[in-house]
Amino acid sequence: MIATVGLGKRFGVSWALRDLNLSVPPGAFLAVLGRNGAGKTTLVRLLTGQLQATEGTVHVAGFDPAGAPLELRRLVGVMPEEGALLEDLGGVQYLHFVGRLHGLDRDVLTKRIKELEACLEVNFGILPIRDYSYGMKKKLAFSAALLHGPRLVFLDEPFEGLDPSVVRSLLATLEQVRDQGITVVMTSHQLSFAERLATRVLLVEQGRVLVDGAAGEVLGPDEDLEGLFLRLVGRGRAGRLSWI
Amino acid sequence: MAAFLAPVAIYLGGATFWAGTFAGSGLAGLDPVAAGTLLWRFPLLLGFAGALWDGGCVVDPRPCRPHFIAPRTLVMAEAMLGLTTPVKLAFAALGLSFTAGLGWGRPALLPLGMSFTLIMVLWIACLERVIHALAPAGILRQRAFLGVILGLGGSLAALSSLGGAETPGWVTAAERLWALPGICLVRFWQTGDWQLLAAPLVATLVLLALTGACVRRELAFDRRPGTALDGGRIWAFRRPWAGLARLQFHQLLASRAGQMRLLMLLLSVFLVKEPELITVGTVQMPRAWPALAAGLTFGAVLVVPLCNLLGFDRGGVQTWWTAPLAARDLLFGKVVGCASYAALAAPVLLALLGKAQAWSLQRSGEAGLQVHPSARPMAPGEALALTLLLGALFLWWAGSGLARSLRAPWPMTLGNYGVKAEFDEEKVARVAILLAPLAWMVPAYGAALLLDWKAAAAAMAALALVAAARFRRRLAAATVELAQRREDLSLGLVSRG
Repeated sequence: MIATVGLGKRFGVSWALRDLNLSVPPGAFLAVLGRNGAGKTTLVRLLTGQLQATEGTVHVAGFDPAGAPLELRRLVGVMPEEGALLEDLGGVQYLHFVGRLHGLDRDVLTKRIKELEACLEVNFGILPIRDYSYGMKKKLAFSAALLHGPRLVFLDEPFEGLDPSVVRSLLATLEQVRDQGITVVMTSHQLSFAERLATRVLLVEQGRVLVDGAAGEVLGPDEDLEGLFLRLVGRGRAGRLSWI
Repeated sequence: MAAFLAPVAIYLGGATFWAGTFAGSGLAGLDPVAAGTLLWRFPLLLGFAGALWDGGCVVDPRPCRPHFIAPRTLVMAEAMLGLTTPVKLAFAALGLSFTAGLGWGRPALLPLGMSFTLIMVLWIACLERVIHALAPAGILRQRAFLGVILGLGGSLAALSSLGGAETPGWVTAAERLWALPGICLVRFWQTGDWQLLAAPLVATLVLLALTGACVRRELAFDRRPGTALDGGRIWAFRRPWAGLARLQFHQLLASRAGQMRLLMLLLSVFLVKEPELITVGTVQMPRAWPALAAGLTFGAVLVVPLCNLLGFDRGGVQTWWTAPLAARDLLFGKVVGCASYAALAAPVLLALLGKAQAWSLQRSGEAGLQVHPSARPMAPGEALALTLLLGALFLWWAGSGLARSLRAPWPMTLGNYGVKAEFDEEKVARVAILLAPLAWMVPAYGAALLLDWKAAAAAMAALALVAAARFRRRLAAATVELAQRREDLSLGLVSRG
């Protein structure tokens, strides 16, 4: 479903991502892990055609995302970390707008939006999106990504800013997505959630791949994802402040 | 806004100085009703404009919230800083030049001029806050309604006089009652009777109390939530560009910049009220006509940048890159949305133009005056030529604007959809784009009209075809460029803040 060869992206003089060779089969749930600034979001943007690669090639569902062909956009649902919503519209209005761009009928959209609202325990209403809380915006972006029934979903930090109750609903929904054979690429700092969902793990650090493989294969004996992360990326400093 | 108001204030300074001198010498002979109504309506309109433009409190309480700043301190800060917005500063400059003129005519009237300026700035500041609090951002209908009720109450009389009917008595009475503070203030200046100050004093106290309540409420985060575009209505559209056009149209309507331009159209109603004849060279013509023509030009110049400078939604820019929406649909939809907004304004302007021309001909005929060619009623052929010219201009601007907005992207905000207030280098470049076709198309139109309306219509039709072909080429080029510059666009929008 996704194949990259020697993929790299440079901003100015610094490389955000370099020499990435990735192969994600259809139906896989890929968790992209790494520290802040490791290159996770850059990878998602490259795979969704929002950025153009500096070097290497990318193919998503057989298309080059750099050209952003409409056929690919119809197959894909994207939940960016930010900058995803038209903030003057109401939540329901936005979902209908995006749904119409995907060619969905009003009745179908109304039904799906109600289901999404029930699933995410939210009522989007007619308030403008700019007045929404951070969590509400995340839920709306997640809903917009799944609304048209995509075959491939990109989720950038989907759990950030959500309360535990909604996280539980989201996890259940994502498990359903995975079990239906929909390919998912998800970046997250929530390692326990990634562990529960992912069939495949990609760990990046400073733009380079540290680990790429099936979830069961990359972990050591009696090791969880957090252990793997801390072992390879480092445990961080003591975090003590002199004046506290 | 400051860059726009500053040169206007300089030119108006001379005029207000002259008006001050005139008022100083002829204060006793002023009609208190006419002068008082004008005096009251002026801050109302400026307050209304300020409410649209400045958008509420100057002080942003959000950064102060974690630092335990007392509400009273915030209100005091707002009371001071609220007087420094462009509308009030420009008005204060005008008031001072009026005062200087007043003092030049009669030095004893200097305190009167100072009090006039102070009261008016205070009224404007108060009305701005009250109107803003009554009409939450983004609700055009409420603001338009408030505009008619408050500042434009007199336009009822103007409209009824345009229709040829006598102004109803209740309209006159309501207008006088509404303008009572201003009328009483003028009478006080004329007679020195302190009892007359009761009405303006009560009006000021009521305004201050209302303003205090509104400011406290806004600074305490107790704000009424906004409403989504078009009331959150679900839009049905078959083609993606049609959805984009609808979005752009409603964004323009909801933006402060878009509302200010519509307000200017409403203001043009005043220009055709009680017209007089003026002499230009050896020809007499109605005062309304050049004023309306100036208003038309001014309005067109201000409306058109919206069509020319297509902004991008910074908040949702990734929606465009990930939704199944072709680059051509995105750009074409934006142009159609802008054109719809311009088309909304056009009938109002044309109706006013037609009325003024009919009145001009009638008045000139009655007085046996020579009619200036520009004041003749427009023949259908000429109207056709003018429509074709405007169409050609729009297509030319849209073509240039597409390329410019891709190379120097500007984020759209609720304040200004794609039109920045500051007069920076980029704005100068865009104004140049705007003026370039005007510089040769309008003279070409005028020259063709001298021959014959058929020649003018044919020439303008040819021009429109050329502009349409150019727009088509530019749209195709912009489509390719948009696909190549998605990354630059995103980064440009973010870095330009």
